[in-house]
Amino acid sequence: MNKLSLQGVAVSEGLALGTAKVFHLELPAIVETPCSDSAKEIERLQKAIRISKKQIQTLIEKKGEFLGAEERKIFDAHIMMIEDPEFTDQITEKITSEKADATKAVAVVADEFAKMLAALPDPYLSERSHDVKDISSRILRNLVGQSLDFSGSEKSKFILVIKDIVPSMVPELDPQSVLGVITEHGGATSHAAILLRNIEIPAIFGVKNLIQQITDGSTILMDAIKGLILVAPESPDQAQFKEQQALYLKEKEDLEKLKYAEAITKDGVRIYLHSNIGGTAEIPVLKKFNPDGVGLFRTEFLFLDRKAPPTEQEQFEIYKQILATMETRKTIIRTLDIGGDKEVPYLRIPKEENPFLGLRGLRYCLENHELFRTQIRALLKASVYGSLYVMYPMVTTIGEIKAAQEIVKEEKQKLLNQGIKVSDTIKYGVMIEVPAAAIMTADFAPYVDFFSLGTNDLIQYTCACDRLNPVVKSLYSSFEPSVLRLINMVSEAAQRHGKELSICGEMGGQATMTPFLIGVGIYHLSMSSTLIPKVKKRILGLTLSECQQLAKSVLKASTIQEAQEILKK
Amino acid sequence: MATIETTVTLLTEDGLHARPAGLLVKVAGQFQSKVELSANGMTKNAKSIMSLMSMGLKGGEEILLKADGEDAATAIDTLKKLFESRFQE
Repeated sequence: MNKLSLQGVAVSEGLALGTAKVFHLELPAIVETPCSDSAKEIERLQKAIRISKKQIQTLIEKKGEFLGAEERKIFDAHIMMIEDPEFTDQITEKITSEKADATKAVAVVADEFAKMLAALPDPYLSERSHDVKDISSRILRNLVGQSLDFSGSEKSKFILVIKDIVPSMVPELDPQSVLGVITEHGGATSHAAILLRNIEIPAIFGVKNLIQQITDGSTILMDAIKGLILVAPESPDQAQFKEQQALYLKEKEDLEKLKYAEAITKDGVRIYLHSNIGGTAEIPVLKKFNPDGVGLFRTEFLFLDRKAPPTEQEQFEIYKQILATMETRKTIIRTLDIGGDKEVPYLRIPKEENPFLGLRGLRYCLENHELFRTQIRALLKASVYGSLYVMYPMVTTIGEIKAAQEIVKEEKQKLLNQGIKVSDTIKYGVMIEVPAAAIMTADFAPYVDFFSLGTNDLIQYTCACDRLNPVVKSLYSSFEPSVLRLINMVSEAAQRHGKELSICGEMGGQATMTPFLIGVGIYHLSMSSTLIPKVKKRILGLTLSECQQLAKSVLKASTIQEAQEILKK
Repeated sequence: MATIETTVTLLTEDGLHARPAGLLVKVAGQFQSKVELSANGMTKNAKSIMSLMSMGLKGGEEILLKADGEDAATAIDTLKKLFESRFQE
């Protein structure tokens, strides 16, 4: 095979060099001919059911700590389905009375149950049909002794190459033998990606025509930092890669040691590092990186990839789990931020000419009270389990803050009237991501407890450039001087009014920007958990006075290049 | 052998979703008796998670519980309490 390079999206950081193991996901064939011995066939079925159950139990036992609460529930439900007496009785009945082959009986009965569930109007229940298919696939595989054995051994380490990986497969991967995962489908925010990050297996998703291009057994070099794959690398490539890998592992080890260290500058200023999260699947990551709080919980992820919005009870459970995990540490939960580039089909948001300038974030919620009130109620009910900060996205005017707070007040009163406890120490704040809000920070201050800078949108709105449009991409930069000056203005206003200010946009996790942010007085930085060690390391080498000096000169820069030069020094 | 029946109301907000259905299966499974749920013209085995979910029951619906066997009385009593506690919500 000739050397070949492929590109994908790095979804779980790391480097790996190894042999490709290409997995095909076809199910075993269904045998249509009648069986000769029903008793024997039933024995075969019972054995397959026993093995299937054992496999899932082992998974829960061995990987429980890596599983998010949601995944754990899915596996618990799978065990119940496998043990379901109606399910097994009907299969057995098909084998006895119709002399059906066990594969045929399982396929037919599972299909009937799946269809019944799929036909239900309740979207949650109808999605459970996937679980029925999932367990029937497992039983079918075990009937013919075909195993999706990802375990490998100490001697046979491999890089898994597969068309698509579903979340339930991830816990079956043994990090000792699976060096990396490469897929054709999926993206960074998929559930499977989060789980792979939890168990620290490097992964690259979204590689076009992957399966056609990689043959089983070929040597692969994967750089899951840049998303690069090299098939059949030459020996100099391999040698260089191994060096890079050694350096990477050394750095990772050094950063690991910082886990319990506090982020304090050399002259004693405590900086607080928080995590940006998207759901309960990230609880193991939170435990691992030990952040000072959650700086942004993007609740829109709970609303994506489903057929109806999550109910109050579902949302309550999720908020409660996150709050309880963080205990007394600050937990900022952002209310639903949809519109713009985040589409949710079932909400039937009318098409807009300029969605980024349209009904987004809080604007949408104030037009769709029912959805907003449901979320607020779930948040208020969960507030007693931790230190809740409620944050509104895409705020432009004081009127919007007042309207949102009015709804909160009403819902709180209703809950109290029902005898439901609500914490009295909930903090309320707004995202600063619209230039109008940045300019008005001081005027907003009396109406809120805190602010958080959403720099991604602040840059795109300040520079009037769509950050997803490659043609105007050069206008979009973290070093944009107008944005840096706006951030300084916001920080000054927040300090003057004694309001806590944090930053949760990408800038918060860029170690290059850290000294500037501290220099302008922002001591709460929120970022993807995996970036925390790098930023922490940077902070440990800084002093407040040098940060302030640097910020001063950065604020004088009049071009992106000038600011960049000062910051990258 | 005894057959005992009682009517209960499903009080959970989301109807009979996985959590309450799972709990019902676990509790019903503790008894020797055959336990059935009837609503909307359907009768299903209370020990079967898939059957229960496939009934698509919504909050507020009236359900007939029926147990048949040695421990039918205790079974009905326990299940009735489970419904009344809104499945320990």
